[in-house]
Amino acid sequence: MVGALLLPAVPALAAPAPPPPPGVGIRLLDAPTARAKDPRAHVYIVDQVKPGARFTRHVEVSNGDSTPTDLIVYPAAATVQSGAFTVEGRATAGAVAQWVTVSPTSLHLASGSSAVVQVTVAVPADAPPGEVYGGVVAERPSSTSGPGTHVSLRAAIRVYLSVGAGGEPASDFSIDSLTAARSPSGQPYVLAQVHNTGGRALDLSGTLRLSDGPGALSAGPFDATLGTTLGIGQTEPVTVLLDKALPAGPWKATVLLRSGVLRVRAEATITFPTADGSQAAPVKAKALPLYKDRTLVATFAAVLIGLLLMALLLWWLLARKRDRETAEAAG
Amino acid sequence: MRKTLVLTAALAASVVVVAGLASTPAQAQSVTFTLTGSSLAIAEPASAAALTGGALTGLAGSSITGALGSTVVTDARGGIAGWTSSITGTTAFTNGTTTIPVTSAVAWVPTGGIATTGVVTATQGTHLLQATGLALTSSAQALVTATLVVGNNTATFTPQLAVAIPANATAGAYTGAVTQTVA
Repeated sequence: MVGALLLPAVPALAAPAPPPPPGVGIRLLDAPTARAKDPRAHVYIVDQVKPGARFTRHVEVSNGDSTPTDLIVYPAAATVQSGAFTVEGRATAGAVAQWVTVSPTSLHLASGSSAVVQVTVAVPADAPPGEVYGGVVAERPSSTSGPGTHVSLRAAIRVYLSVGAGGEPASDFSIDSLTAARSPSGQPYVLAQVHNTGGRALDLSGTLRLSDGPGALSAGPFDATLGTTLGIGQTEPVTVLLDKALPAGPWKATVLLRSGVLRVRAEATITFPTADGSQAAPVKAKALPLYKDRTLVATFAAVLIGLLLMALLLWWLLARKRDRETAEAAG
Repeated sequence: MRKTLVLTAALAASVVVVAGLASTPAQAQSVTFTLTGSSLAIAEPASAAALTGGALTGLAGSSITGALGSTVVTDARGGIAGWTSSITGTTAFTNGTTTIPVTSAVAWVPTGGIATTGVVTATQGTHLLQATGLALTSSAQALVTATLVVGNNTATFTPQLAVAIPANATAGAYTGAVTQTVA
């Protein structure tokens, strides 16, 4: 487990706004209520829109340095590969760079101040279906005078925009295999091979639990780490670092990964190698069922209603029979 | 009569329940709520980084190295989203006569060179030495990636830069530019 200082979250509205962090800062100010439960929608502009749609978001750009700064703000394209989400330069062409406009486009910020920028997304009516990536960038351009290597600084908010005339493409991923390994320093770790099989990019996090170990031991949960983003169709390993004190096994490893509100669980029996700096053979992971709440409730309710209807029908038929008998007896 | 009424009522109730379950929530894009997390920021001294120069005869064909200023990434969003700090070779190095393309430069962060606060795992991947450094291009490439984030965190690192000097380089003071991005 990574042991470190846990800083408290910024308190909401209780105290005056804290000073902005040093340098160029950017933060998302609003998100759609339909995605209130998706933690990714709280920090990135994540949405699913039809061609021809138009919506607005707001970001806040800040200057945390001790001197005033001139910033420029613009939309940019981005690429997702090898588990990393990288925002490209201003000149790079791309869907997000074309469809998104920001206002204002340049700001002069005093030390410690911030300003709100409006971001308007206008998807053309003939936009092809699919997911596009980009960023809303606040840049402090470098000075150009004098020799040496000048550095421009940029802080950006990622944009994950899925375009489609139908409903939102389903996000899905599979955990293909688990590999037990030991680092050169002797620390055991597990690599879970994850394959994005859905229609949207994923930002994964999750946990691993060990059970049925030697002497009926169990351990965990241990946190999983991935290089931030898994693009559509991509396969990347998720690493889970474990405790050096753990016996080699065999263990039943159950890994639970989530992206936004989507969760996938899989398990496999693994044994850690004894030699430092080595990996055991990958073990195919078995997917464990984990119904999304709505499906479970809907199935349960449908069954109940079916039973209720059958019971009512039965009661109605019995009642009719009783009526007929009563009528016959009377007549 | 009463029996029919009860039956109809039950059927109607079932239809309403089934319809309620089957309907999906409307895409409420126009209805938003305000977020209370803070920002993601990157800081670096504004002055240009000087790479150690020297006599041209000794340098042509090898590379000169130096450090970009201390870069501080502050993630005050208070969530579990990771961040990626990337570097771009924006402007080639030129002294007015000779232009050294950005692809001649490599960037790396030495082992143990990322100091963090808060719950975060920040890694520079394989870019620990000049030999395995990240070759700059005009596209942004990830240099330091942070994962396993829980709550506010910061990372401080000083990217090292090495520029390969071509054999036909001329003497003079060279100026170039790189861009560091955090997203």
